[in-house]
Amino acid sequence: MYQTPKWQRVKLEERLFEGLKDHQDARCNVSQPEHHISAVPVESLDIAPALYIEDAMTKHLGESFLAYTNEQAKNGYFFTAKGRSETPVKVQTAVGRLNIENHWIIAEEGAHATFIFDYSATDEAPSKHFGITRVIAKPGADITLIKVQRLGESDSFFDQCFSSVAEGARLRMVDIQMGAKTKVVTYESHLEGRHSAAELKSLYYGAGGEQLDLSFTMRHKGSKSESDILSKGVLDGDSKKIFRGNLLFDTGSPQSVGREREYVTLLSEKVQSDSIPALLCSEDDVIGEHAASVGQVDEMKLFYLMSRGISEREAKRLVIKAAFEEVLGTVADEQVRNDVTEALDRRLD
Amino acid sequence: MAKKTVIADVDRGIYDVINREDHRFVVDKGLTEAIIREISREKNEPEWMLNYRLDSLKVYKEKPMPTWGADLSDLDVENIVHYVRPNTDMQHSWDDVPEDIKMTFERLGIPEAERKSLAGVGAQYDSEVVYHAMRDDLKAQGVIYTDMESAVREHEAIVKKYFMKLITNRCHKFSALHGAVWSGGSFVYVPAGVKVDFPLQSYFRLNAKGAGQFEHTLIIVEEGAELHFIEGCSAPKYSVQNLHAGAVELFVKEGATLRYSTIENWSRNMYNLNTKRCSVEKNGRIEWVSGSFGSKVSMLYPMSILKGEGASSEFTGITFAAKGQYLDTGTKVVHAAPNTSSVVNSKSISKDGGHAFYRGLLRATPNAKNVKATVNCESLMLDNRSKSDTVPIIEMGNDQVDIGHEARIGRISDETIFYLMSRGIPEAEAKAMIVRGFVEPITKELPLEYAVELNHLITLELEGTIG
Repeated sequence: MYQTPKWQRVKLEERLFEGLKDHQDARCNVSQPEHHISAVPVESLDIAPALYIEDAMTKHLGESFLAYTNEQAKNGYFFTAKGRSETPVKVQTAVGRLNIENHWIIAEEGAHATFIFDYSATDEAPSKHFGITRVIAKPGADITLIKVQRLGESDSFFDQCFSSVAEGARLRMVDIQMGAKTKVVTYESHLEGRHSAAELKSLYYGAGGEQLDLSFTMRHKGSKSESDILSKGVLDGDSKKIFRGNLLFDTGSPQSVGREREYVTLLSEKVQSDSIPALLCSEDDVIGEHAASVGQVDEMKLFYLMSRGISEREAKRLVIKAAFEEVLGTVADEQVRNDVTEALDRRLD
Repeated sequence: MAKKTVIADVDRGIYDVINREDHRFVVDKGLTEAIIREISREKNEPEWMLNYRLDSLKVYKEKPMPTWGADLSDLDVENIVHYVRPNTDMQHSWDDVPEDIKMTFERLGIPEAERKSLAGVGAQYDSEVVYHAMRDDLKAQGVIYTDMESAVREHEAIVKKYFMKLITNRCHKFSALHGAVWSGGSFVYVPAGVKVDFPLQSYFRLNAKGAGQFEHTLIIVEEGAELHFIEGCSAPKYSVQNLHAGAVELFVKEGATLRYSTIENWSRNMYNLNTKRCSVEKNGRIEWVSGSFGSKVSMLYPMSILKGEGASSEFTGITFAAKGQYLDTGTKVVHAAPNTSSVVNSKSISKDGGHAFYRGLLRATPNAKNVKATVNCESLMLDNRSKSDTVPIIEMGNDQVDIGHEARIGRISDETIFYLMSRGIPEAEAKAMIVRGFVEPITKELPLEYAVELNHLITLELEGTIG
């Protein structure tokens, strides 16, 4: 029996995991990868031996979520990347009523690849997504993982990403949450090796009665490891957001640097914006920093734009879009950039 | 190989002096209704106070232990003697205080403090206040500074109106325990418009083995009045665990200002589970200065409730966690009215396996428009056996807020050392300068005597040994 987790800050619907598993109707389409990336549907693999990966990780979404997704998933791929690939692998999922998925990305030594996961809604509503993605970046690998969520207003999206980064490897993650009523997203990276690096850029838009729960964890285990979390978002209506940013420095991670930054723009007086940034440190020779700012759209910028004859509404729109651009600009795929911009325009109207 | 500065432990010498126990009245160990009645009878309390104690006892038995923060599994509350009364009545002249008690305070510099014409000194030894004096001119202006027991009897109307109204026995398990067994503490009432120009001081000290200290401090600063109150705590070291679960309730009325300074240096076997709250009305201001050095375990989060328009708060805190210490400290600020502002500056140092934890809350309610708040947390780790954690929680309930937050953890940077050394300053001295600079924002907020005591407390061995 899978129990709905009882959370203090985000209220989840009763019987979240019940009565749905036979209705997995999501459609997943994977672009033809270059020859040194293989994609095998996980349905055809025994994934049990590989589940050790998340043993050391925090189960932010609860044991039930993990068990449910691991046991019921019908969707997902086991990607193995070798060498350098120029074209991103695109995994496009039309979520339908229910999508339960399990993805693996194994980046072999020195591999260089980009994976884009794009989630969109179909006419079926409400949609639910439960997904786990694991990324193993072996020494010297350089992996970019982009997740874009563009579901509908009544949908829910639960996603957890575990990653382990070995010596000299680098993992770049981008998470963009545009749609869905309930957005619960967790990323945890373990910087295992010396000189390993991970960065996470998060963008979100919350409106109406939407709830967002974002948990981002960077755990430094290797020396001279680097991490960076940047979260930017807009809250409107009576939406509610919880940001949890955890920077952990284990003993044995000297000369590591970890940073987290959070910027929230509030557009309505009814929003609720909570932040819990944690720095947990057991190593003295490190730099750990956190900065946050919460406020309205910068008045100076608005004033400047409005003095040029632009209406307040349009000016706010420009300022927000410019803020998103910092993250969006790093997304390599033009189609994804256009889709997100379009979704943002629609939401700002 | 990176070189490290070793900074010596706090020199506890004079703080760990144990006097022979000589008490006229000690209640049995453990907590029962009979004991509560006995405490109340001994104190000659009015009926309502006894009833409150009994109600608190009931709540205490029902409330669960906190499941977060420090590990309290070693704490055996049943075994702590809740009320110990030293063998002396309240004295108004220093000379009448028994010799050994006096010696202890003299070692801690209390009479000197008064000789320097500070406005008043209240010293608490075990559970009762033994000495109280205040300048006559303040008395003439209607300022009341007395021990809590006397206040309950002599100023019953005021006490009844405010006592345990901000911190109720339903807040948490230890506030319920406090409500049941509270004893001693200070009561200060500053009438409207009176500006007390010298700090009032109170000193707490635990001497009896295994005794809990549950003092209650109640301060009311009426409209437009001003006060600076200083509380210092020190207990000798014993092998039996000690518990401190005091309560500090501060009421700052319209346009009033209160500065509340604490230097806490409990012995290293103390569980310091103190609760402090302040309510601030329109245009009022509370300033906390908080130094946590002692105790085995501390869980201390002074709370400012800004409930009147234009109210403001400032928190300046330092925590020094050395070997065997788990100091979980921080502050809570609730912006519950428009145009309120707050500043939090927290610093912590951890060394030798000590664990410093900053835990804070900043909340703006939906009606609190136009709020300005900044939170700064800085942590300095002196070695990698120690731990330093920072968890500042921010909860914003509307869009008219301007919140800035910054937190940093790190050690003394090599670059800064290099810079100073390139100017001809030896390495050890360079490191010492940086540590001194780190602590300075706190020392400069304190009156001279306390700044000296703080330095005395730390006795950072600043010449530093390289290893």
